[in-house]
Amino acid sequence: MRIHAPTVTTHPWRAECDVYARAVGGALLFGVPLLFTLEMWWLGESMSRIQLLGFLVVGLVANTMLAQMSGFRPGHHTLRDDIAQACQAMAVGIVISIVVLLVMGRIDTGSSLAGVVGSVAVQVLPLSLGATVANLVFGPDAGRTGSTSRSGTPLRDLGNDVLATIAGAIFVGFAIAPTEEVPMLAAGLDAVGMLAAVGLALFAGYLIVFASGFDPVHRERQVGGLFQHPFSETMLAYVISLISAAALLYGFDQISGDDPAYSILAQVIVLSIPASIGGAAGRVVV
Amino acid sequence: MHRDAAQRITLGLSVLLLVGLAALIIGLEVSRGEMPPQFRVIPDYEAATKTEGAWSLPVMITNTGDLAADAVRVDIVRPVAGEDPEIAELEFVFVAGGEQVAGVAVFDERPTAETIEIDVQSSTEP
Repeated sequence: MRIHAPTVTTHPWRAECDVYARAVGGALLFGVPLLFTLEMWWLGESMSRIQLLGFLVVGLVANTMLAQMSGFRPGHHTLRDDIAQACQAMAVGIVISIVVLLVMGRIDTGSSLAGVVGSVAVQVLPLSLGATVANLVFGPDAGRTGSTSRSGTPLRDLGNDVLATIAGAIFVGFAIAPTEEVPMLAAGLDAVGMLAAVGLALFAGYLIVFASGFDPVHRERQVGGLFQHPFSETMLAYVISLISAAALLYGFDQISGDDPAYSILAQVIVLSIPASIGGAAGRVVV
Repeated sequence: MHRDAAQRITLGLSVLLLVGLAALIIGLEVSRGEMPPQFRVIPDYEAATKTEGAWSLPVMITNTGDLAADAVRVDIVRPVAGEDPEIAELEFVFVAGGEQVAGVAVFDERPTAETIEIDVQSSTEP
């Protein structure tokens, strides 16, 4: 399957930003649950370096093969292009894993270089595969079941987006909410960390829906109402993700009314990252 | 496929990142020792604070070995004359080689260098 360019852009850097937005969006969509997995953090710190190098080689080969079928770059590819794209997908995986691990406090001044390198190397494989396969699942014609415009009234569009955000947030958040990782990560978050986590969730939501080109309707910014404006939709969707995250945590007895407010807030913010990514995916798909 | 300047630059940076990560892994492997986990425990007595009748003592634990350790248990002990010692048990699920982790030990009386004993109890191999 060859992917065609979602939009015609003339400036090379603008086109390049679009391509990387798709890659980052795909990596976040498919890789973020693994970033919230305790064993994934520790595996990289305890695995042998040979195994870590093996992960990189497997990642390079797998991404090259997948790039032949999909990839995040438009147009026809030669094998050299596919290898180049595999390198770029893995670079995206490296950057995202570093950013998310930093925001989540898994990398700090107390971390050893070997531990950081190991954690990043392990996370690169799933994240880069997400970047490469994103177009297979979220091709530019996939959004809104292939439609390039929204057919309902603004109120109906708003309702659809709200429901899609809730469904996506619950779908992704459900698997993470009951795990030990959420309170563990939340316990290590200070105020700056919480703000960074909120920023990451907002950025991810915006990127997947508006910058990646996965959904032509959002991409063209065909404004159908207040909620469909990029800024307001991103903000409102994040609030919905926060509420969904809180509901999931409460449902799984991770938080209760007796817990300190700071602990509740930190846990909700931690879970809001995958919930926001899931909500964005929901709006792209539905 | 013809590549414009933007594509060449981003590809170059991507390859640089990937090669950099691989080089770091190889460098760490070459320079790596096989020293088993060892723990240096440093209590910060000056930072001890009293809250609701109990003294909280911040403790920094560093794995100075090369290998990671699971289930690390460190006991911070305050002997009490004629009674059982007061023991603060600190447990860390995972400490990588070279990693530093922090904990807090809680005591009834103010902990000082003269009144505290440190005992690294156990750890397991991941």
